[in-house]
Amino acid sequence: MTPAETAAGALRPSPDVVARRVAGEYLLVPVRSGAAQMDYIFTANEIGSVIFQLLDGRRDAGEIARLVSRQFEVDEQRAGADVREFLANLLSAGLVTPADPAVGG
Amino acid sequence: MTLQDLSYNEFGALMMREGGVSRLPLSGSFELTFKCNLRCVHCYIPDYSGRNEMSTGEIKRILSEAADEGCVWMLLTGGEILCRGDFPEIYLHAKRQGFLLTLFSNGTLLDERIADLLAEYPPFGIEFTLYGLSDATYLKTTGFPGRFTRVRRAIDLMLERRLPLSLKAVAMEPLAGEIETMSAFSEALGLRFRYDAIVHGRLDGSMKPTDVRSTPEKVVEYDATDPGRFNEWLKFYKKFVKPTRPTPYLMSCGAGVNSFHVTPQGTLLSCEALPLNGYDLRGGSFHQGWYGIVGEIRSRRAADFNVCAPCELKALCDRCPATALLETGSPDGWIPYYCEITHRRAALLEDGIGQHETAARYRAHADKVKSGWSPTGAILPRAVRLGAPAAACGAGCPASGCGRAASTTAHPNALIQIERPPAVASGSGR
Repeated sequence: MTPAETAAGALRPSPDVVARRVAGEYLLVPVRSGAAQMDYIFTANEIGSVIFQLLDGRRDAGEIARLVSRQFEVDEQRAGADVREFLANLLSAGLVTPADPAVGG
Repeated sequence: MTLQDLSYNEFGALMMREGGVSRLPLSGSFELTFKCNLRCVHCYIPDYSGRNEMSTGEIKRILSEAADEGCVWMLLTGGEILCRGDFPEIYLHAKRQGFLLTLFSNGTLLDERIADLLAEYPPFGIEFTLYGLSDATYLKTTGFPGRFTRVRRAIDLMLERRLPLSLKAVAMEPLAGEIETMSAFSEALGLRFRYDAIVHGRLDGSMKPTDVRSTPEKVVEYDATDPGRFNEWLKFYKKFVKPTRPTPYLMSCGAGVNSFHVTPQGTLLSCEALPLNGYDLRGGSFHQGWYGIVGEIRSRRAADFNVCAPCELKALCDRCPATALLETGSPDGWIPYYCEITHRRAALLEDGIGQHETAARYRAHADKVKSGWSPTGAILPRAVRLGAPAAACGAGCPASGCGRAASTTAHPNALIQIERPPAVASGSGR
């Protein structure tokens, strides 16, 4: 399975990443060596933070795109492309993991 | 819709821009304990027993509350943090709050178990303070044999695990001649090294630790002979000291605005060394303390007899309300040691930018301070509170009361009698 295909499936936040909202910014802070890139602090914008909070290990990229499209009143096709790109970024940074442990990244 | 990665400086600027306006407690220091396995000659702690210090649960609760209020940078310090047997539990809890954690330690108790923990859950930074580069020097400075050998081993444990270690030292008299060697030692290991000459009085009011201070001339000699250090000072001087930014308020740093301190006994303070407007976190929440009494220190005005308030070199000086309180008993007090260092340092920097007349004025002021002059009406350190002070230094320098006689002749004894809670920490250098 390619990373893009993995990102399209159901994902959940890495248990070793702490998500916090501080001073209007949504921070993703890796806390444990291994999966996540420890040399970085990540911030997500408003839509990114909503997507991250929708990652419950059940919703896939398509469902998240529909929810984002509705909430932010954007075209669903455009939202889908953006959501997939964002999820792929999260995956490559080690900030999320596939809900199904058998699925590789 | 992108995921951004920011440089640390960009991130810091972003946080300060957004959090500064709303007075978020972005940066905190947490003294986990006063217990320590060393007895350093310059130490400010009067009681190493650990009496009345907080439990694991109390510390974890306060860390969580500070995170909820927006704290991003958290320093865990002591005493010696590894004197707490529950350090791993506290550390992991702090990591799980998403803080950018820095640890201060003397390194002598750091073993493989702790090193492995830090490797798995890396801190944002770790700083070891060096008290020499040999067991013989450590015996003189810390009172125990064999301690440098232990630190050296701990440094290796950190290096083997590629942890973000840096080293630092206090440029005090017993280490004169070793600071340069420590710098070279650190450089050879690829580690950052910094030092300052700040030595406070002890928290119980004793000035004994200040016996080991380097002379002001020696302190400024470090600046003059280390090009890297000189350039850092010059950059700071140009950016933050000139032009002067006068303020009628007692506080001119970030304490109580975006930074705070928690003592081992659970007192929330604006600054580790300033036991004013403290809040007992054992009896209430972080939110209540931060947005209540702790912040009120910011509205306190400098007293009329605060001769440092209008000083044009204030931003360069290590005298602040906290160091003044420790040394004089009043947050508005005057400290000749820091006054002399500041003026000698400013003279050096003015010479560096070709302003030789200004440099001469500052140097003349430093010489007057050295000769025993003190500003009219100033509250003096306990150790030198002698005789009648002179009116002006005569050097024509508007700093440190030269251009301003105290507007009251009444000695504010009421302010000197401030009872320190047992849980107050000393400051560190910039």
